[in-house]
Amino acid sequence: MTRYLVIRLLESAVTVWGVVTIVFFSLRLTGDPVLLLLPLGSTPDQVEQLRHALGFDRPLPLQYLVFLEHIVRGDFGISTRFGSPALPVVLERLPATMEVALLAMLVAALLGGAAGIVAAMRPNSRFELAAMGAALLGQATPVFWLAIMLILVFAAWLHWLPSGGFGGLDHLILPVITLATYSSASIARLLRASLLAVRAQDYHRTARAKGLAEWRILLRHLLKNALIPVITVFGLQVGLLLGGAVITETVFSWPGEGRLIVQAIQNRDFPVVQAATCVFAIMIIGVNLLVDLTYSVLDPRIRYAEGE
Amino acid sequence: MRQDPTLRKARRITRRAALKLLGSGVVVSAAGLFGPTVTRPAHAASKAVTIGLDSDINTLDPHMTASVGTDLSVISHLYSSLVFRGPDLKVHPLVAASWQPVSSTTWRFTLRGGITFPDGEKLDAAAVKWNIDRVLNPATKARITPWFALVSDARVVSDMVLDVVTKEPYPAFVDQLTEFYLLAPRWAADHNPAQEAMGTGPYTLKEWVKDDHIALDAKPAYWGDRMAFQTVTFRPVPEASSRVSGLLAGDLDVILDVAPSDFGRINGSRRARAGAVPSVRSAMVKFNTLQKPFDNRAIRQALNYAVDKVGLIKSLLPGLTAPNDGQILTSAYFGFNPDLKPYPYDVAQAKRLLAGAGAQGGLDVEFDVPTGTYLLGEEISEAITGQLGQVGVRAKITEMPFSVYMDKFVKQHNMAQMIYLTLAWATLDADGLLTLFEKGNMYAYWSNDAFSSLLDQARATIDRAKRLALYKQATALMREEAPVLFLFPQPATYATANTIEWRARPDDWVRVWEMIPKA
Amino acid sequence: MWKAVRRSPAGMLGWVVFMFFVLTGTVGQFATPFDPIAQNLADRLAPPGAPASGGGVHLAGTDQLGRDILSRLIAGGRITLAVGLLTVFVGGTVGCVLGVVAGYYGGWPERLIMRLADIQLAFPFVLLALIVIAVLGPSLVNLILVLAFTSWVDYARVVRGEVLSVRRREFVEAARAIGARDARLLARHVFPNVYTTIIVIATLQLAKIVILEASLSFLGLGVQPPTPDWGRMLAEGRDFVATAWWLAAFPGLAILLLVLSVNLMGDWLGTYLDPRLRTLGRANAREVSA
Repeated sequence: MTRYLVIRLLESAVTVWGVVTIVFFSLRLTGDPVLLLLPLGSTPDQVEQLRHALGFDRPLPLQYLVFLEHIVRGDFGISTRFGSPALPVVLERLPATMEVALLAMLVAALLGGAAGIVAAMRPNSRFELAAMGAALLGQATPVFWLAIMLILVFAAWLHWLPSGGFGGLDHLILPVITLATYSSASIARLLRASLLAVRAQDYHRTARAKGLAEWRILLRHLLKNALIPVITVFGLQVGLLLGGAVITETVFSWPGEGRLIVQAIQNRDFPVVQAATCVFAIMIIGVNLLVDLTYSVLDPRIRYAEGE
Repeated sequence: MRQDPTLRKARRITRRAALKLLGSGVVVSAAGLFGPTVTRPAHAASKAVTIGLDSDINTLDPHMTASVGTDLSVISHLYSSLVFRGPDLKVHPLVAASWQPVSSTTWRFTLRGGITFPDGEKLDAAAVKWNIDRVLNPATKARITPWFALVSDARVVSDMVLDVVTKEPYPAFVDQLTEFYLLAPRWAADHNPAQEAMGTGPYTLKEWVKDDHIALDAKPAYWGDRMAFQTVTFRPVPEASSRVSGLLAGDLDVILDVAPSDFGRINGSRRARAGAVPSVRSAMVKFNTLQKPFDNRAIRQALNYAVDKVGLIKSLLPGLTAPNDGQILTSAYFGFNPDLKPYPYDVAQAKRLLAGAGAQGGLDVEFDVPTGTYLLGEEISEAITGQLGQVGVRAKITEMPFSVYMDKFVKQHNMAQMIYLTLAWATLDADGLLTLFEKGNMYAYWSNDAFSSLLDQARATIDRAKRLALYKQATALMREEAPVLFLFPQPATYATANTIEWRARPDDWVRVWEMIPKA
Repeated sequence: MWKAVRRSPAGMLGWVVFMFFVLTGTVGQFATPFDPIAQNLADRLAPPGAPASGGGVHLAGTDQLGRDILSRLIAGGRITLAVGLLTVFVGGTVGCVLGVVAGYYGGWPERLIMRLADIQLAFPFVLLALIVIAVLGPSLVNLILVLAFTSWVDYARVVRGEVLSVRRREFVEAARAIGARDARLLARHVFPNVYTTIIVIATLQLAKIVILEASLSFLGLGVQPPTPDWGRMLAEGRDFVATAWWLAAFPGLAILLLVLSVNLMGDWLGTYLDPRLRTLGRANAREVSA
């Protein structure tokens, strides 16, 4: 197992390097970074002067090597938009992003998990209909619509909650609800389908189970197998949310990574895009690694021994 | 009927979860109703104002930004400039008590004395020179260097007198200085002006939570006018409807960039008022006159006749603006020609001109439109396409992100046949704006020698009367040649809570000393 | 198979609604009440049921340029359906194949595929879209490419996870021991255990894709105006949620119904393909009433 972990960590480092490199070169494909930095009406000379000062006129491979040399020391350059070091710019928005992401996933896990289990255990019941109906609404509702409506109702009309911005519990509630909606819907549907399939496979055991103790064990056994796809998707969504949810952050004026990276891409702020991608890559790869390790906990037959 | 224990357990879990949610819901509502209203200060008692901006503040360094509406507006509360532009759009003295040209290439500024930075440094001629040198120094990578492109040197004449020497006559230099704010030389050497601030302005920086808010406190002793507001908070709220909801919820007192469709619900709310002023930024459809079909003047004029600007405004921007008078300058600009009139809406004339140019069978043109950049840009472009269709001009819209659009337009020199564009110039001087159409300018895509020669002559002198006469000719020529489809000044839309009296400025500045608290 | 559909009312509802969308998508554009791209600025933002100045009624209201929303819905369904289904098909096929290969064979194929998935996940979506627009151009095919590119990972990771657990089951090991060929194993044992989850993922993806298309149209990738398309209409309605709610509500409703129908079909399909699931409902009823 340790050998597996070491190999995975090495692979992760290579993967992060791969992402950062691909982003580095493909950013240049989106166009000229310097053009958007100067006021419209600047002459070509002025643009060239800034381009030279920022080092964008050097040959690309040279820029890349300099870039690599700097990031090993943790220096991602100076943000062309903010005028301060890029990595701290990315890191200072991380706590806010994680707050809302983790809280939303927690709510989604509890709500979606409960709904999925009950729906699978009581097929063809009214509860299942209600739960799957709610899940349908949850997965098909556009995020921006839900966010705007929540603000309209709870802030503008009822004055119960603030209309946006960073803050404590009252500022978190609406963004968390918005983000948890799609996730809890997917978890509920996936868990139900997965449980039903697993239950059908072990049909004979299910049919013969009598008494509370046996049912409890059976549920635990069923869940162990059913959870694998659910955990996978859960991990994917956690990873995604840790990178920021740009629409939610925009509508709620939440100072998160999503807004930062989208604006950095549109403003051609290369250092921030590179720093954010690196941080995000580490998080996503980390989460997926955790998910893979969880597989062997859930299903001991999945082993990561030598030669696998 | 035997109870299924699994179901009971499942029901218990669900019930527990539901109760938990319900419970937290009750607590939250109670907190909202009875708890402290941390986010909604009472306005009558503490003089505080919260302003909702449409985008984030990037930097506090006055030399690293050119955006008036966000960064520079905040900076103007913390720092001082030599001169400033008042609500009347005229230039007024601030740190510079007076100024005059001592030659056609030298401006002399006499500074108001007695201003010191909080750390004791004097704001004197030497300090101003340091600031200008900082911008001119390539190592600073200042973003406002283009404003000082014609400046060759700044010379300290005496303690409070500074001469600025320009390479060529620069009549609009003082207007440009309305956006130039002054740092403290010694302080700037040890601090990062992008993140921290210490200036001679009326406010100090209390805190800056990135992407969330900037809070300013009024200085107890300020050398200028007394401020009405003790605390000022700027909050970036990128989503338009969230700005309006914030206003209606009481979280925001002043908001900008209000969608015209939201005016109804703001004005109907009895808490706030929405309004608009025509800004100094003109919207237009720019033609690529270096290619077919817009190398033909008759066709360009035809399109000007084919668009019903009044009708467009009536439907999309009712009462918020009026058509440009056959020029891209607005009345706020020096050099505005009051004798010109807009092209009238005349479909018959348009068709005649098109037929005369051999295009009676119709025309297919590409129309590039940047997304998310200009107020109602996408809608206006689509509406124009509809109107052009009626004279047989089929415009095919291609929407693209602003960065891609700028690349095509500026970097690749591959502008589409028509593009939707808005233009403004901070000095409010015709030279700045019209130069964008001068032959050889990379934004021009128009080659007219007569026009260029007029601009050259106007630039060579600082005599206002002479310049006005030349610009009169230049604007008349531009209307006749129609290198653009003239539209209208973009409206600057805004809304204020009823506790504040304020109108947005045509030039984007947002300054709290122009706001009056109503008790 | 049709008898099976008839026996399940939910499945039948799903099929009917889906067929309705396909039908209106293909032929509906020839029978819209108004011209979907005809502007009428005087009638802009008219609420549902408002009369049109040229005669007729705007059943779903008009948009910000006075175009009839119902007509645009009918005409736009074609593109939305095509984009959604093609993306799910392409992304799903690629993802499932890669996931099975990764889970079943292990070793370096698995490592390579999973690391590619990680790279894909870490790559910012907006950047990908911008690159495609800048380099390949804002066409519909490129839109589908971008969407498919972003969605294959979900399938791959989930399928791999499931295959990992199935692969180890006794009967699979036994079959392998007696020399059964890989393809047969995959088809008979691995696949049936995996497709229920695949179907759910596909239906979840469909909703996500249609709504993602809305934000891509903001960037200018995809359908260009004035061509109608549900995602675009939804995006255009964003500024009017509080004032002219019908601009976003009707495309949203259409998307909801489409997702509902695909969900119902997907659930029915899962039950139909796995006979053991079919008897589950009846058996449960028997237990409970004993």
